[in-house]
Amino acid sequence: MAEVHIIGQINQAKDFPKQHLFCKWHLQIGNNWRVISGKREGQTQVSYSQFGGTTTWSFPIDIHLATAGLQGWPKIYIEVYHLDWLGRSHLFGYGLVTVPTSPGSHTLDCYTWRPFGSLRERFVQYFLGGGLQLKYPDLIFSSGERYKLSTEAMGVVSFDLSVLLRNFTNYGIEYN
Amino acid sequence: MKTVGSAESLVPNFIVVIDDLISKNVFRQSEAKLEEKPAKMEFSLEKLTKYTGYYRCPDDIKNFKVRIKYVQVPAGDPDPDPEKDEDDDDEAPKPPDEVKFEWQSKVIGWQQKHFSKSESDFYSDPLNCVSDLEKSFHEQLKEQGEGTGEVYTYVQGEGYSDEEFASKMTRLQYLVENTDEAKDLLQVEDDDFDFTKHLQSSIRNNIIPTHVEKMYIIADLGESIEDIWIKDERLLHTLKYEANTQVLSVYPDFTTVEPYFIKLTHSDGIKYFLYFLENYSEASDEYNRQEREVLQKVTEYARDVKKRVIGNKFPLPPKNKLYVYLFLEILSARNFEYPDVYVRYYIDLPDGWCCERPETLQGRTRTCHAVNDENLLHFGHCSETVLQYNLQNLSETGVPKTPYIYFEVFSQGSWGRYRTEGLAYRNLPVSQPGRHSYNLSCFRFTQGKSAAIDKMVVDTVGTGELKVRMNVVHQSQAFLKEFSEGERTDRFIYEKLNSSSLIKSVDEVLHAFRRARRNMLEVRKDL
Amino acid sequence: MGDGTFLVSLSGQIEWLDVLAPSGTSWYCKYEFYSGPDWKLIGGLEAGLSQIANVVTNGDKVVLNFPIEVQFKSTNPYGWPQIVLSVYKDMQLGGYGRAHMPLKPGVHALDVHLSRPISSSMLGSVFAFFGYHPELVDVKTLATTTGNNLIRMETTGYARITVNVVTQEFKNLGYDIGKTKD
Repeated sequence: MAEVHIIGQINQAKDFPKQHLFCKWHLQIGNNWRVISGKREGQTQVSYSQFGGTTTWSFPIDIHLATAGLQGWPKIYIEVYHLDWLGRSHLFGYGLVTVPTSPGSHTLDCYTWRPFGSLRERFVQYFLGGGLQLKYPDLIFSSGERYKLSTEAMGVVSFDLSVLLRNFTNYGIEYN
Repeated sequence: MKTVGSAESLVPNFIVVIDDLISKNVFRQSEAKLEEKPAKMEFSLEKLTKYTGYYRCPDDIKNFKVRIKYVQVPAGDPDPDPEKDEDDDDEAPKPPDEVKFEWQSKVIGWQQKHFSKSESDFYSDPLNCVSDLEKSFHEQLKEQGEGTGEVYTYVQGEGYSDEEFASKMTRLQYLVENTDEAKDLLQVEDDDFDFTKHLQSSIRNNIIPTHVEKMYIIADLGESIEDIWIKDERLLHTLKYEANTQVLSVYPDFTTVEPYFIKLTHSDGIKYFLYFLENYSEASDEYNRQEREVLQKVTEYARDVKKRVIGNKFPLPPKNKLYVYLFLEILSARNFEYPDVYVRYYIDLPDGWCCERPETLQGRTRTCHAVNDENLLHFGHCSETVLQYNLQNLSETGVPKTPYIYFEVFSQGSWGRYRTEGLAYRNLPVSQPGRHSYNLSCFRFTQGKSAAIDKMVVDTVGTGELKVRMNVVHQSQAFLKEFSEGERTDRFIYEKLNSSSLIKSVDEVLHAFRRARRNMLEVRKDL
Repeated sequence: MGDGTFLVSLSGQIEWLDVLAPSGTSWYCKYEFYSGPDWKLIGGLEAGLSQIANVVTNGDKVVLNFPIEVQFKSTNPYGWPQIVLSVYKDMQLGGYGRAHMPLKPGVHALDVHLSRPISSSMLGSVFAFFGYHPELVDVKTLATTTGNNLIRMETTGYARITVNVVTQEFKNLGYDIGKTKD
């Protein structure tokens, strides 16, 4: 069987409206994939920079996967939250990015978005924070009911990932 | 001829093994010369840089032995230049012309006490031995007799120190010594996080070494003037071993090719004291054998786990097909006029291509609301699809037609109206596996006829920009043979596929079949 | 080697720290290597303490040129070595940082981002004003994926590390790390 190692970090977030952000991440894989070692999900620390601009986490990712097919290639799903001074967390964005299929080191940008409410909801959000969250996050992965969802663009999260592949050539697979 | 003890158990086996092999060969050469009585000095005697060598010892430190080879020779130049600074110890000695090298050697074990002449006299007298260590020296002296030669050692506990000042108690050492109290104060319960284990490992692994055993190799390079021995004690080597991390440090490092030298100004002229230090430990194969066993178990276990979890099945495409896996991401868009936008995509497959699940060939993203000045939209939409190409078509056409992907950007107006904001298309990079990123500029027809491509309409206007990313992977049985042949050449993929014997064989079979059929028909005609 | 292991040799140095250092302060740096359960250190020092560097001009880079040299042996890329840095300013904490060592052979320049914990309570902020910053008990937890939920960290700068990576027997085990760096 073929193996994939994903070794890297969730590097930083930029263009978000506030600092003091943390990121929850989750690895999405198909049914024919298994995690051999490593955590499939996690949460970064809360980071902020007084120099403005980007929020850097440098959070390590090290996952070892084995697979019996190319379908369901891993994707990383993230939720970015803002932790305010009272200790409440506000959703600042959802994002989904496909792990590169060619071995080597890659810098990936994940474009995040959050649900865009009605005028009234946005008015409340401006003053009290919070905002809409998806009740069923599966909506992101399935494509059926997409059209009902309205979203707005948030910041960009960048990943530095190195992908290591093993034994794929034994099954006639060419990736670069 | 004595050989250098195996260094594998002691030195970092990766890089230094290479060095070791080289020095072993060279040393055998120079050692042969040393055993003879050479007429000329064959060392270049450049000043060697003194640095500390760090070695990890998987073995017990008790197996550690060093051998020191030393000799004292007079300088070659009988009339030294009076203007030269005589205190310049760094100056390399001039090689003397006719000198006999009578090398002496001593094998020293870890914390093994070797006595100098004055120490032999001192410890022989039982009245001088007060502490336990000194008493053990006395016993040792009784057994082995007087010490000979200029080289001797100071071991741990004798109070000899080469440091000018004792190191002050650092904050870290203070913490280490007071951890027990600290552990009681901290009580944390967290299932996921083993606090105690981390605390213990951080204490154990502190950088400032606390349990260090030291040993010094000393030489007494004095001379006797009018029957009185003037002592000149010089520190040759400092060896330190830290039990926690099993790191041995040797200053200055071992040397087997070029000796270190000390310049001595005696009353009867300038002399040089030359010495080598080599690692003389006996390799214990026990450790290597154990390690091999453990490694075998580990690799077997890892293989079993994978087999149990996944098994060996990995579906291969049928012999005449090339599978192209396409992982599509629609990332973002900008500069479209209206704020609420979504994207539809559609893949068009020409002849020779097919898809098992045609519903993956098209899709749409969420509706996104534009923000800021450039009307930025983030979609972050991921999808995957598998395209199949029939390889038999290759032999006929040579280069296959590539599929195209069409993107259509719609805006959702108020009252549920939909309007095309832009169109873009691209041919799929199916011949190049890997990652591809594109910034597609979209255009729009200015006349009322939107949606489909209508040949009547010619006026278009550029609208916004769409950013997409694609990962392409190929799978085919044709590649198996190529990989097993060894080096992959960078041939154009269709050449590779075309030249694969699969197609040829199928082709040939077909040709053969057709020929046979033709023959059969001809024969039938004749009948 | 044939026993299913591969070797990784890392040699390089911690070049400098860019931490907006005020003049008159002194800085030093401690490094530690963290690797997975299948990894064994076979050569070099896994932890080290640099010299104390003094800053003369405001905003200068703190130049350390602190050498790092380690060799690892492993059966599995999972747990690839990470370097964890603790940077201290005078007697206080300047920041922590971590980075994975590069997987591709060749020379790499890494920028390791440094940040330090900020206290989450008001009392802690008062102490911080007087110079008592919170510190992590075990810095290596930064290299693991648990144990640091909801710690607030503040960016303090970054460290530049250049490292040369050499691997042996890696490809023979079937691993493909892509084309070597240009």
